[in-house]
Amino acid sequence: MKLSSQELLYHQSKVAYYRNEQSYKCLFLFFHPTLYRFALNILHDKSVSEEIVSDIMLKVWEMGNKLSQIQYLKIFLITSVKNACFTYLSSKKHQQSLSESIDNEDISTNEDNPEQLFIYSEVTQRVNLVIASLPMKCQMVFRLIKEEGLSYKEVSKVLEISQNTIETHMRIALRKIRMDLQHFLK
Amino acid sequence: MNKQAEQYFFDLLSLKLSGDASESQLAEISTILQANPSLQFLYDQMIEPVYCEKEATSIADQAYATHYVKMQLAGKFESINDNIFEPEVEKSPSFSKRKFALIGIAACVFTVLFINYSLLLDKSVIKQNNNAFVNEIITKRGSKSSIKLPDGTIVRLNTDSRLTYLNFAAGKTREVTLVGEAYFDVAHDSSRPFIIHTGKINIKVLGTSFNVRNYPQDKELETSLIKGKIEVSLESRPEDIITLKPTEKLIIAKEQDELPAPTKVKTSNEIKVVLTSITYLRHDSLVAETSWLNDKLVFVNQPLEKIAIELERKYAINITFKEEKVKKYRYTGVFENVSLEKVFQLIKYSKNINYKIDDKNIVIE
Repeated sequence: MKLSSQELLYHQSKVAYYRNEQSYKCLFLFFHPTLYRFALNILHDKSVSEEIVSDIMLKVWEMGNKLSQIQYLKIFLITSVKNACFTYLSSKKHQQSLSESIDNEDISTNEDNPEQLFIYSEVTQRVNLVIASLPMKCQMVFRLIKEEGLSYKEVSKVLEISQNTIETHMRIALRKIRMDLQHFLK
Repeated sequence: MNKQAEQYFFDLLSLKLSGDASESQLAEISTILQANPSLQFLYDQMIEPVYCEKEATSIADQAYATHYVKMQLAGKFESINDNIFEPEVEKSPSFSKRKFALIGIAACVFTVLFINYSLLLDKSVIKQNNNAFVNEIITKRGSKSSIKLPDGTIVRLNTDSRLTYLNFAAGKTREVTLVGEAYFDVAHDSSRPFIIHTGKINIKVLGTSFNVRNYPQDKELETSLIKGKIEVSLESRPEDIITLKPTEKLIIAKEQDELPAPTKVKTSNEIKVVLTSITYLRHDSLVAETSWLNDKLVFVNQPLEKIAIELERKYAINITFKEEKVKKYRYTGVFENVSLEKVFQLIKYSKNINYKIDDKNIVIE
């Protein structure tokens, strides 16, 4: 599902003022992939991620007219998902098991589905592994920029870090990937 | 290449990925790439999208189906449904001209009217008979339902339909019986085939998406495959298997009479079978067979007689014809979220037909 920023605004106010279910569906389908991937990268748990995204989207519906006051819905949603994920982690005291699960788990994107394994080339998989091995913050910055195409400004709002920090994270990530790829070529 | 230069390249690449890079910065990237071919490999990898768009879309669709049920149960979506003639909220006219394809009924552009569709879980009756572990889901005329079966399969049941299934956990196969129309998104499980019984035919699948149409009033039974693979066999001759590929549609006559123009006709044990392809509409690759999922009514060169049956189901009304020849008038068009009255206005525009609406009974003169 692709929507221009104008269409987004249109659906946003449609939901805010008319409680239009069709527009709500459009918003859901548009944001779901980004939000779900984002949550999954933090939590490494499909069903919890799914639930958090669903909860956030339910809140969007409940906001009513206030929804129209949100200027950047995308930033708002990603930030909400981020907060919900961290709340979940701290409440469940998942912090410990989190670092373990990252070590143990394969990249969440290529699981048992053979079709998927086929789609991702060997190199892409390697790159994914490197990204998954990056520190959490660095990984979040890198994924938001590379995979979701967020701007520096958006990322700095969502993660509450300065643009300089973003730059540093990006350098670290890219250097690691480059080194790994060079190794791969030899 | 020294470290500083490398870092500078990374900064530029990051800007490009975030969409913040200016024209001159983009040009700089190409210059650096030309001077340092070793960076090209990294660059190519970074530019490539990681996620499969199609896959993300299908996950989102499934998630929405689940989310929809959740919203319904929480009572978030409005659910005034007994009366489809509920007052409608008029949309701003600027929006009306976009979404639709119309061939026969000339260029009538609807102001899309917003009706609360009756996709309601609580309207469909869910019965559970504990002794036999038979589950039954029924939708009345005018309402639809979305169900997630215990194995994760998602079934969207159209109006006036019935789906029954045995407790899946007990058996080696997953078997359901369908009367009416439904769209199946079957959860993949190669050890337990999914079988749909429709009386005349049985459909066996491993994991796929397709539509089955088996209304008692219809002369034909149809199944359209959207993705994956399904095997269809006749109840009377189980060894005779027809395999469908994506976008193919199988039409089976329940009685021996007229069928649409065939591409391939097999006569098998006195049952006529036609293999054809699903009908795409001109715009946005809308598939006619599954349009009901999006609350659209799509007719491609259909006689009014058939359209009337569809309208009866969707709006829970009765339509009677005073004149025989009117039944044969053919129409093509897409109705999206329109009121019943609007539908009849449009039908009236193209041919001079009079109609009377009296509560739920409509007489076409």
